[in-house]
Amino acid sequence: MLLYKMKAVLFYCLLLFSVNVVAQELFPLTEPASNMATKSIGIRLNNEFMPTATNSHNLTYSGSSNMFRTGIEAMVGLSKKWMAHALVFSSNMHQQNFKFEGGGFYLKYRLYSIDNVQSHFRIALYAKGALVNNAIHSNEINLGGDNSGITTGVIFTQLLHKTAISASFGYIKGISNIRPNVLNDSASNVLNYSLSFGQLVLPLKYINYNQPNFNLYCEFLGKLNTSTNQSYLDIAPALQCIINSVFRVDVVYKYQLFGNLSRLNTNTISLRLEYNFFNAYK
Amino acid sequence: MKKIIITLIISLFFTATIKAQYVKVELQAAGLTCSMCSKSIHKQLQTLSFIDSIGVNLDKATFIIFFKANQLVDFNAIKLKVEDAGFSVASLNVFYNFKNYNVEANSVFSYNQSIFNFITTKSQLLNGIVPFKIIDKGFVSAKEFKKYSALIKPNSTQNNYNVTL
Repeated sequence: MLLYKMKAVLFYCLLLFSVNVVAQELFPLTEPASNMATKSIGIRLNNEFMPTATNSHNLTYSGSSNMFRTGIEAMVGLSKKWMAHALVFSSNMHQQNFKFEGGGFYLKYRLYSIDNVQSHFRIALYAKGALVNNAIHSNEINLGGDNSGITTGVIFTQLLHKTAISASFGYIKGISNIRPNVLNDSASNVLNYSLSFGQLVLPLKYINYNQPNFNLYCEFLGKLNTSTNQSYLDIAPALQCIINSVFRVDVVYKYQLFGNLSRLNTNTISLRLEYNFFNAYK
Repeated sequence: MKKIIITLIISLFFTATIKAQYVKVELQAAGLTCSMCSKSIHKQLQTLSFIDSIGVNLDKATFIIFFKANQLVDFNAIKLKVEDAGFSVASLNVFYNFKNYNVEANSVFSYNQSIFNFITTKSQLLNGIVPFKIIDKGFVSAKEFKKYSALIKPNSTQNNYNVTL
């Protein structure tokens, strides 16, 4: 089964890169090492559908069987080196009803940048904090809605003749959710890593700003809970459309390739909508 | 210092009396491919009050910039706006309308309160619209700047540029 999955992944990647076209680094599930333009603001609506809530690890769980999480994220380019996100989320993942769960704050600093015509290499550092009021059901430590905690890490992004590749490594420290949801300290340390590929399919030639852009992505996202020594690796193929150079729609299907870490769900369909306002403030 | 003051006075005089000699600027940006990125540069450049209009070749990430008449043009401000968008200048060529100007290596001329020092330029007579390229740090790629860095003098004022044909 594992071999079959690996072959499928390899096939997908070969397919992706046999399309000899241009690329993007607006990865649906990870941040690139590049920043937004100074004084621009982006508003993002995240919707995650988890149709088959797996409970293979016998988690004590009382959430809805059709899990759905939605969130709003505001992003701002503070300067050419700094950008920040603020986000809030709500879901029915930890109880039958839909409820507000909490929020987070994300800060990214562009540490290094070398630009050439149609290529760049960049390194960025990030930090994120989240405060959540949910029952704790898993050792995944997901600051995107399930857990309170802090994380920091580094991102490397290479854009090469319109092909984008990005890697990230981070450390997550889970803390107890808003009381009385206490996190077992022996499961609170997590390493996360990602490898992302992006490819722009259309247009073949840029003529104006109004041409829709179509991008294909393939992201690999992994976590290792160093406290429990459990891990997983997800793959997330995605299709992205950018309209008028300001409005972005991402459709992502993320599923687990392998892993033994107890999680609420192992596959997710995401629909993300994002609008960018340039020169949004003086 | 004396030379700079004199050239500044001359440039102020010429700004007031001569019609705009900057025909246009051709700017290629580095570090991007997508139209969303080009748009962010475009929007940043539009905030500069001395810019009249901007044309764009998205395929080459190249912007053609035209200036308003009788305005002080600041090339450093243009560079900073490209950097604010998150990218860099790959090249910036100023298309200038020369009138029988004898140029050679280390020639200095000024216009519109900017001073231009010609580096590695063969002596020749310039007449009509001729582009020259700013080669200071941030106006060319890091690799290209390395090539010029031994030749250029540090700029004594904000609007002092090292250029080449």
